[in-house]
Amino acid sequence: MSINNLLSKKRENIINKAFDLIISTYPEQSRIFLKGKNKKFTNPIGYTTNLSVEQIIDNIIADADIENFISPLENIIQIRAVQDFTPSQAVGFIFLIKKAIYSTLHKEADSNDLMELMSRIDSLALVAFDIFMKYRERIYDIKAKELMDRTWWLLKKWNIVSEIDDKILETK
Amino acid sequence: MGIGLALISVLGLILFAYVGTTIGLNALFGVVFPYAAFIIFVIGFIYRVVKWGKSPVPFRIPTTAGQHYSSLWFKQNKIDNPSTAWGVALRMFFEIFTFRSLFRNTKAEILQGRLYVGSSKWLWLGALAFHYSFLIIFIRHLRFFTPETPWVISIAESLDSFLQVHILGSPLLYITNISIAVALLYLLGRRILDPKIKYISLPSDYFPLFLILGIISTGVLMRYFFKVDVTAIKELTLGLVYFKPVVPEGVGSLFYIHLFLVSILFAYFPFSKLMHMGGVFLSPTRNLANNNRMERHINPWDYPVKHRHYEEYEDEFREKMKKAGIPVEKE
Amino acid sequence: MGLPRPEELISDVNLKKMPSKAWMDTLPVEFKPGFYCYGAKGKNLEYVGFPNARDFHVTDPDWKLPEDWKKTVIEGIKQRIERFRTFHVFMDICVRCGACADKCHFFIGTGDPKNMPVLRAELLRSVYRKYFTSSGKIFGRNGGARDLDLDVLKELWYYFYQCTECRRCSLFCPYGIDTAEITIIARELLNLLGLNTDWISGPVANCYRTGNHLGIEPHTMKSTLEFMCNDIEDITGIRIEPPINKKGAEILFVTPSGDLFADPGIYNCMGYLMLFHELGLDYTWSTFASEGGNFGFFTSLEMAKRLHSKIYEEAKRLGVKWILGGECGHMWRVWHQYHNTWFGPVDFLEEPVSPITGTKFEHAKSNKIVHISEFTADLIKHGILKFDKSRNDNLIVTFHDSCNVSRGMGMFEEPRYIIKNVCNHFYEMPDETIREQTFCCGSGSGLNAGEIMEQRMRGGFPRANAVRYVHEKFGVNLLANICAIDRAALPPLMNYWVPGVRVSGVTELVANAMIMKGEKEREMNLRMEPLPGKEVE
Repeated sequence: MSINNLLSKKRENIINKAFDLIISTYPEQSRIFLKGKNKKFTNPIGYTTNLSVEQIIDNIIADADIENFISPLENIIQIRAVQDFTPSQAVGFIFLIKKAIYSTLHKEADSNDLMELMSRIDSLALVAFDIFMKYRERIYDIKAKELMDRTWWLLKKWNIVSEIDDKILETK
Repeated sequence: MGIGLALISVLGLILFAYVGTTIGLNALFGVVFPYAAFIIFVIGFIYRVVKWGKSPVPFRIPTTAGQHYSSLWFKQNKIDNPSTAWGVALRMFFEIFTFRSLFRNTKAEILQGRLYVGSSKWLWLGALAFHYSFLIIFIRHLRFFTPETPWVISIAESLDSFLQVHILGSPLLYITNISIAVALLYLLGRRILDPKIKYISLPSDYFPLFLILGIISTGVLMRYFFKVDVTAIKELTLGLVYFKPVVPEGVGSLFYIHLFLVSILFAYFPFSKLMHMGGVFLSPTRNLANNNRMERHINPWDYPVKHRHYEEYEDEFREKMKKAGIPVEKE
Repeated sequence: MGLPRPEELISDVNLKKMPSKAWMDTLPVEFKPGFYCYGAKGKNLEYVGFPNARDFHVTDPDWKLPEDWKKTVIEGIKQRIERFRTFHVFMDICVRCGACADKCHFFIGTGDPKNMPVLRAELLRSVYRKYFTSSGKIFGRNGGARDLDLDVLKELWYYFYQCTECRRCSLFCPYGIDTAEITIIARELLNLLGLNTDWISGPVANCYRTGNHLGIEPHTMKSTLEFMCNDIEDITGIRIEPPINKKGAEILFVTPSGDLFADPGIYNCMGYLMLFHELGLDYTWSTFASEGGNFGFFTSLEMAKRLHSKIYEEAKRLGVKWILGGECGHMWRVWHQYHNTWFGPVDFLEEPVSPITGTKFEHAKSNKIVHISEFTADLIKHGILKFDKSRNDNLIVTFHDSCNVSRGMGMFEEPRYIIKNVCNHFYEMPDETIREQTFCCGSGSGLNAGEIMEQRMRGGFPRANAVRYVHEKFGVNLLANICAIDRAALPPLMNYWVPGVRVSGVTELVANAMIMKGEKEREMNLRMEPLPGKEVE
């Protein structure tokens, strides 16, 4: 059986395992709560994480291109980028997905195929790091922008700062 | 870890009563402890409620859970955001008799094509089952304290046993015996199995659960398994009521254990979280009308505070104000 | 041996950090950047006479506390137990059922167990038990009690400045235990020791001196309003002269100062100016009562009263008949639930009557303060205002209920009625995230400091998540609200979680759609952007 068929046969199993592993990076006391995957609005972390893991696994099964992985990865990393995680913890959940796949398939799958798959998944970790940086930078942008929003209008009105407007461009 | 301590305490109490009555201290367990417990309960309960009552309510801060009353045409939610005493009474009624706030999070959601019901529905159901079962059991027991069984109690009994089921040829099965046990085990189970609840639980959260479980088990054992001499027991209980205490023959340790645990529950009550029974009536976020802008609420300890007056403000900024053409008091 | 496996590196770290220890054993709190507000500056504390005024740095081991700080806290608890039935009862009756546990946006967004409302309260309750209850004294830790020491104090500081006093937990508590009330009192205790944050104590001192949080002096306020009027003239061709400190006006208008300077509050302020001008309302601004918001409320109730006195005094000095309040959350909590008790009987004012429609606001007959949304809804109902709703046609709107107005007052319908009358596209967020169950913006009660941006993003995630849903489903691109903190806090929240959704006050939408007498054909909205259909090709 091809590795993709095997994957799709064990889809549920892998998703559940990966989801549980990722949730176990949160404090023990909150895990039961976060494992609630259906409460879209009252438990957005659990819901989003589960949905994104599902999408990632489905993409792996479908041999999808890297672009298709960006959105589910973003959904998870966006959350982890503002939580109490170091960068490695924030993006390292990729290895938990790997672990879930490996431990489910290693008995049945052809070891070469499995190695190949594992190594492809590693690329997700690299993408994940880019995404993580994007959101960290967004935080800093927001901090700077907030400062502007709080005062810029007033500074402008008092002619303390000025912007290049169309008139200035015209006269140039 | 708190759970072990609570369990050991309750088992210790059972052992204490067993040993005590085996060596013949029946009067202690049948008369002294019940009286003492009852006195502690009454005085302690009143003391606690009075003490709460002595703390004033400086501000009227109801939690508003629905559209407010206004002079406009919008329909007010009179129960969840009452503006009159009647509305408050209604809100409190639903709060106390149906646990309305706990019920609030039972909203069913249809997500991903499946009906999903919030887990807290179980908490609401468990709490409701426990409290109502306890109430009915309490009422049923009043027949031990009245010479003739009043009709209210008889009705409660017949309703409670309407299933008409006998276990092992014993008396009719009471539904509340089952429901309270299930509810208690649920309440205990979630404390043990949900790490989040486990994390917040103290020994004093487990102790009453084990204590009441002990009371239920001994009661059930007496009713259905070991036939006890009900006439003798009623002699004892009526003796307590008429202040002519007697310690009849033929009442076994099992009954004394039961009575002792009940005594402990009564004596423990005023010192514990069980006081929520009294406190729920006094909660200012629930028992006040949301009519602050219509009727002034008085703070009994209100005091004048130092604050900045306009004069000081104008003194500091007068020149700037004049220059900007803002009217001032003193030119 | 050798290198760790990746999964060991990422999940075990957290396991080690949060082992199965009891919560009392997880001290000391670790202060990490992004998770705590900067400490208060001495000069700000001193200006308003707070005790123990000194610069204080959260990460310093030594918090420069007075010798007898423990005694101060314990006596402080005693005094408050005797003064507040809320506090007294709430300290005693919690059964730790956990109904509140997953209702807090900070718990939902962080997973930190001490953000469960029940545990937040237990932090203080454990100290209360130790010193004030027999079970705590006898059973000690087994009775849920613990000694007050420096680590405990730091923990109290950390977590009580992580509560936005939104009261969502109080809604679900079977006994109505209100964590906001507990937080208010815990912060009072901390303020006895000068333990405040820079973001709160700075505005408090400013507000005391100049009447508003920002420290806008009277002449600056006037110029700011004039700048707005210049923009309004550019947009509508109508020149407005805003009345300032005008004696004998019928109505005193007070709004949070955030509307005077910060984007997007300024557009809402322009909205007020346009609305009142169009009505020909006899009203006045006050440079002294130039702030309805009250950061004092986030330090102690006494400070809140001290800051709020100016409004009552100005109403008296200017001789107005009643007060109209702008869009703000905690300002309305204070006005609705505290103001009348502090300053009543407000007999120098008259029962509010709308001079335009004649509607008597009987529900405000004692306090004499009316909400702008109540006032505007009434105007619309009477057909006073004419709208060109198409000017808002580029906006697909949803409404965020502000915590304080929702659970501390109960005003849900008025703003919705207004929005539906001035916008063609309005969609609600899911039921469990609006009205009385609304999720906080994550930055209330003085937590909208820049240095805790991460904390705010996590706390605001449940709200943002619901916005994202309507954004994806209905294309919602505008999040309307009636709170100045929301207008300051939601834009960054949206920028992070749901880019493409902007934030505005409700009055901005009203003024944009409102057809004014004698206006020129409008090309721009209040933000000076082209109106739908007027874009330059």
